[in-house]
Amino acid sequence: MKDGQRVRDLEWLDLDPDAGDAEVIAECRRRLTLYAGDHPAIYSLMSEEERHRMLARIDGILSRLKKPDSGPPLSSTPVVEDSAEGVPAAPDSEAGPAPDPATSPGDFLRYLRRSCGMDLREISAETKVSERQLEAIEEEDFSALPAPVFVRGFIIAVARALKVEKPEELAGIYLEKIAGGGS
Amino acid sequence: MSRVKADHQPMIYAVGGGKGGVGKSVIAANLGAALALLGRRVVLFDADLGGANLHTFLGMSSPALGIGTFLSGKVGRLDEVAVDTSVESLRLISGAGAGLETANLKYAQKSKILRHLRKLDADEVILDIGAGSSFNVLDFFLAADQGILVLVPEPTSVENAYHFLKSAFYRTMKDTEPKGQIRQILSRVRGELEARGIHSPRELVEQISREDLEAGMSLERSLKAFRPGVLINRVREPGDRRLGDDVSLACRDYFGTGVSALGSLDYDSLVHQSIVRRRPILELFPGTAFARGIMSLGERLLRGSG
Repeated sequence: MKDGQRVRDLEWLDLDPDAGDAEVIAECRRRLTLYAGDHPAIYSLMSEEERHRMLARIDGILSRLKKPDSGPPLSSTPVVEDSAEGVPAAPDSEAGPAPDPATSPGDFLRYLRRSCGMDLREISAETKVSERQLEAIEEEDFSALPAPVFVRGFIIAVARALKVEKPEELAGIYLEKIAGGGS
Repeated sequence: MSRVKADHQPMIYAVGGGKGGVGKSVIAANLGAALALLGRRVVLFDADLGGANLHTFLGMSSPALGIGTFLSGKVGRLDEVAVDTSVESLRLISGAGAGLETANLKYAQKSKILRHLRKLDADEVILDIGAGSSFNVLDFFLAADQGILVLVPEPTSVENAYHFLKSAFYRTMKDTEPKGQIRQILSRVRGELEARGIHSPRELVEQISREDLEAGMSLERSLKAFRPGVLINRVREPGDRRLGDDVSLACRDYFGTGVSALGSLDYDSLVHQSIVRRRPILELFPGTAFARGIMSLGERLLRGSG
């Protein structure tokens, strides 16, 4: 059953049946950018509803990726402490203790990024999420962010780039915070 | 696309794009010249009936012979109305002087032309099909071995191109055997698309396959052959070059069938000059960006990697 779904997901993405998760993620990211908003290449092709369905489909594919073997999160660096909700805490760094992802997911992502030694430009290049939006994510400046369905995709992409073990969970926390009307 | 043709039939390309003024004719004329320079025997066919002016791009006055002569039955073969141009190995079948009535081809006339195009004594045939998404335009496009959809990086052009693609896609579906069965399912399913949660053409085909496996398989076969290429013209920003790849990806998701990216041609002010001087740009300014782009497009098409 799960295998059948995997086959359908790969087929939908036009990938080989033996394609790995990295390829799936790369293909999903290309599409998240394409369907994120006012992309000139899809002008008039589909209705808003169809566009949202595309995003939901990609979201579904990403959320079905089980990643127990995606490499231990930041295994080469010492892990401070596992936080709640299964989101791993960040490694020690000069920036002090890791912010709690459950209450400050934006700070948490920034902390992780810095402790990986990456700047916004690098994350943007890898995730195709614009630097401006990455900044808004870290700032938790919700007014500068698009609809939650996109934000979910962004958070997952960023969390994966930073090797967070359960990106969907972090995205869930983030969306809850948006729904709670944080800023 | 496969370049292996039976009995030395010519490879047929159709240059279209829905929108007027995006450069279809100048691309068709110069692609013809490029393929001729690359050693192929080429015939340009001006299928832009009612607005035919390929001859002008090649510095010729309106030829006395053309499609009208052929349709009137005065000659038996299209080869007899293909006139030489200033470019060696490049001939032109003009649509000019075809008479006002040929702007709206009858079904029998269109079928006759499509049948005879395959019999032309040439290696490559390029159809300039003009603007719009009328049945005549679509049928010439769909009859070609390789459709070339010309876009410029502007929303109006993208919009017309998608309208063209959707029309071509549904026309392909409706013409798939068993026609009766497929049309019946189509009309039944289309009425209840929303209720069934069917939105994209791709989901429509999937639904038909669920209802009638045989019809679905037949559809998938004929839609697999629906593989137009997208060519981006008048690129000014480096980012515009990606438009073809992005359109190709979106079409794959939406239609479930491949639209290949044929690359891009840079904006080049010398194109305008070449049109004013009524010569192929390849002849006047062979080193310019557009001319090099057309040559490389020709090479790619001949390799069959378009």
